[in-house]
Amino acid sequence: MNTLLNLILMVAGGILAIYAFSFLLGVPKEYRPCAAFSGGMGSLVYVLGNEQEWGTVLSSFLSALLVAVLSHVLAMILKAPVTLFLVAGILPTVPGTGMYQSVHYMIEGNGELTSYYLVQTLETAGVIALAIFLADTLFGIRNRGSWKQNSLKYIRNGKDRTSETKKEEEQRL
Amino acid sequence: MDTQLLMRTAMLAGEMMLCSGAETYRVEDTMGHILKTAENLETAEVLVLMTGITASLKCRGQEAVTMVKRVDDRGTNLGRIVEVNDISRKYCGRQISLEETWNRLEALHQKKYRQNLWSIPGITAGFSLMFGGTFPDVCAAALTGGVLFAVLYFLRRMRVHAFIQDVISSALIAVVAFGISIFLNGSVNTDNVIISAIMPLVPGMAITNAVRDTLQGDYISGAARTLEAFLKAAGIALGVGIGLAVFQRFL
Repeated sequence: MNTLLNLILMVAGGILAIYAFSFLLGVPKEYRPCAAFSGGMGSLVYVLGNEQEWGTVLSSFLSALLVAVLSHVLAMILKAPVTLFLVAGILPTVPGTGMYQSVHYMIEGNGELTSYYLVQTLETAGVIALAIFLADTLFGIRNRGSWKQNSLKYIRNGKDRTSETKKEEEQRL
Repeated sequence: MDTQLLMRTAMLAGEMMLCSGAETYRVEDTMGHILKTAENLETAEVLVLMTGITASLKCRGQEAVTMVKRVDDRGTNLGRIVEVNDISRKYCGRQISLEETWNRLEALHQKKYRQNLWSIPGITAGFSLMFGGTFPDVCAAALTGGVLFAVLYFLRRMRVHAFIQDVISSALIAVVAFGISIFLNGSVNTDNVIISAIMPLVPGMAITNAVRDTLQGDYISGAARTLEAFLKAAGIALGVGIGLAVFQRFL
């Protein structure tokens, strides 16, 4: 019971932090709750992973992967850039702890723990990269060289195209 | 159609997006879309690097137009990316004219933007809670966040170099966190407070964009952003290290 309460508190903290962060990043008002939601899911997985002792690296990876996939889904639904949700959501996993601990032990002169945390920081950054990479590939959003943008195509082929512009386009072809 | 105006419009849109922290491919994509609306288009090429933009447009029966833009001032403003994206989509969807697009972009460009630094205490308090902080920890983190906000506001006003900003502010974070801990007779977990307080500074944006740029094949921008992320991390580490060392030596 106590752990559950703790968990809820931690996730609430994550949501608060990401919501506040979305102001700092300049996320538009209407997307802030979604950014906070993606951050909240990220922190939920991260906190759960730490609770279950999966290790920082694995929980960071799972958390970042969930956030990345969620960001793509949200971006598709809301027709907004993926970055809005991705940058905010990824923040709970960014290895601030590792950075601090490696410096901390460096100052204390504990070389063993310094290198442990340094490696952990690099690993965490690496798995975040891997998670974003996986989600981007999974959604296959961008094809190089074809100026592809789904929502734009939608506008072009939709109602907004008048017969005049159609003629223009045919001429150009 | 005025090719010059078209080029300037595309360039302004691209510059604003790059300044606001958009990924390289997004800037290229948006500019490419705008340029491809030219009449009698022969070629339209855009090359965006992290530090500048080059674009060239050639229409049949006209001289080629080429523009180079150096971009120095890079910040984070996701809202502006959305707005520019919106305007360019409306233009490409033929909902607004080129002149209207230019005017709107110019108006957006003129609009002063200040980062909402006041939300920093909320960020630090939230992260403190997330990292398992107790009530005093959360309060201490919020207080440290307040100090960070004041320092960052001051340093940005003074136009101090970004690296120095990171070093000074994170050194202050460490000092303030230890100060609070001593003031409260050690009932505060300084590790938790410092880690939460450096979260607003960590290069989350740089990491994300570095990965996406590299994945997209924009290796130069990807490498540059990776370097940016490492430099930022090094600055924070250096600052916290200075703060810790000062505290252990003299107090």
